[in-house]
Amino acid sequence: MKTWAIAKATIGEAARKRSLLLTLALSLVVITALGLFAKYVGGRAMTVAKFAQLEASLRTISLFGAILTILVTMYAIPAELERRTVHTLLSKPLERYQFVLGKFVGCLLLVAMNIALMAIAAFALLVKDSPDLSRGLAQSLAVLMVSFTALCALTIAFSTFVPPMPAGLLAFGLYEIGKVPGLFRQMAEAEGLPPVLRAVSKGVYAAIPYLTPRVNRLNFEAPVLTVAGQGEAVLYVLLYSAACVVIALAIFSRKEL
Amino acid sequence: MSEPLAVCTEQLTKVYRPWLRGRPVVAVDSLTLAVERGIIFGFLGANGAGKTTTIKLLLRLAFPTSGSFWVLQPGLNPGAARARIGYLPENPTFYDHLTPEELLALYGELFAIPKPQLRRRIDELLSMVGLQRWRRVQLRQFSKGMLQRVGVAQALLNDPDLLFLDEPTSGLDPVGRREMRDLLLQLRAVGKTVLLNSHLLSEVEMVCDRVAFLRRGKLVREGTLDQLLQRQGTEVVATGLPPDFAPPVPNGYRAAREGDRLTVLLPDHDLVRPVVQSIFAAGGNLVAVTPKRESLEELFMRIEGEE
Repeated sequence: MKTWAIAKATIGEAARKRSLLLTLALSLVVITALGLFAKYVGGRAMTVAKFAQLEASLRTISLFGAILTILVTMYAIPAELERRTVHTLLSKPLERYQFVLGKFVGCLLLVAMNIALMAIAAFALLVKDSPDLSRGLAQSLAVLMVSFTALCALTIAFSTFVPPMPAGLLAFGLYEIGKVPGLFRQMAEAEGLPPVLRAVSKGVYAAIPYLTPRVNRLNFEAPVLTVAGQGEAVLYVLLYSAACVVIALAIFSRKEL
Repeated sequence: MSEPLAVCTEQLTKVYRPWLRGRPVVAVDSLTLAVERGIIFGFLGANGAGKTTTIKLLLRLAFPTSGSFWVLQPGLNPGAARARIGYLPENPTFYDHLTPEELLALYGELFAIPKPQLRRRIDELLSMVGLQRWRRVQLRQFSKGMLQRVGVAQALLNDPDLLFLDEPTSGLDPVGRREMRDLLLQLRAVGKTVLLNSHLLSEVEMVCDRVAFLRRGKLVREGTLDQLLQRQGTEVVATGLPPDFAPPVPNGYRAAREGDRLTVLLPDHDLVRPVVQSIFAAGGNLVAVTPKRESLEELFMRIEGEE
């Protein structure tokens, strides 16, 4: 109950952030335009062009979703510390772990609400015409949400010990690096690169499986492909997220306020 | 037998160590303190003396470097202790998108107060702090004094046994300050313990049973006001005396004449009777006989000047 009370307050507070509302509005404009385009390209039939548009919509949701996740999460704990609202909260019988969990749950729910809004903007018209698409899209969005869970957990973990902006950048960096392990392998093997750069790339490539959520293993861009078989990747990302939250709890439990 | 103390610290020390450079800062230095139940305890000291850090340590918002303490009862679980504590921080800030009613409801959830009881308590507190009319107005529209009132309401939400009040009259107008003083006295009357941090020494003097002075984290004085404030003798004021009137005391007194009014400060209370008799004998009118003692502000300045 206490965690839920903090989560509700987090949602209420973050939902009023101007930067968040602007990003959400922009994403809705872009996604609605893509959705309308997808609907009217090639009439009512599912065409290759339409699939391409669906994929584009999912990619756009993925991009704006990640930005929104960062914006929602990176200030969640630091703002409480800076304004010292946390002092009154933690002087009540609220444990520190309940506070951090409440923040995490609140951010995650707000991200989920934003993704739901974007999904409605992108696919409502299309699903009305082709109801058979709904299952695949729902699965894709669920997988996407799993990846945002990792991003949210990473940001929360960083935000317990670094200021909001670096926390957001570090989390986004790790999240994105985890999407392109192949790039670092290629760089490590590229003959033309200076040895130092190759060594760094090799190091990054070796560290990726341990440090990043490896969301590259999640496939959410092919809405009509089955997402079955992604169970292991989803489980990994969820465990990674849980580990990040545990780290956040451990750091925050010893934080001087 | 119930525990006679509300707060006990033993050699409590807090040292802040900067991460990369800079010297460690000793915020609280070997503080040993015992605060009895049912009193108003004033915690005094200049800025940076360690008062707020001590409260943070007691609330476990910060962690001691060494030493030990307990609050309300030895061995009491920190969560259970916080359920019986009220805290008003200095310049309190709250979620400003909420209304006072919503904010108190949120805090009520943290105390796990049942809903019907919480509703009643919120009504009661908002009336008490004079915010009934603003109960549905967002806090972002509140003045500093109004936020302070919200702070007082949230600190009392759980009907605490022990209150930590950090500058409770900050931002309040004279009426608000008077109400706060009355509230503190009411709380004491019903057996609550109040630990009060304040720079308004005249107010501390009016309400506190005991005070402690901190300087650079160290406890430099602690006791009742009677114990700490030096007696300065007795002041006798009279009018209608002849210009050459001199009190019949050998020496050690100070006298000042302002028009018709003569003020004599006597070092010893035993001298009052002969002086009063001589005033009547000279045909004067006795206006006042007042025992004088040093003010808390004078003591504060004396302690700060001791270094």
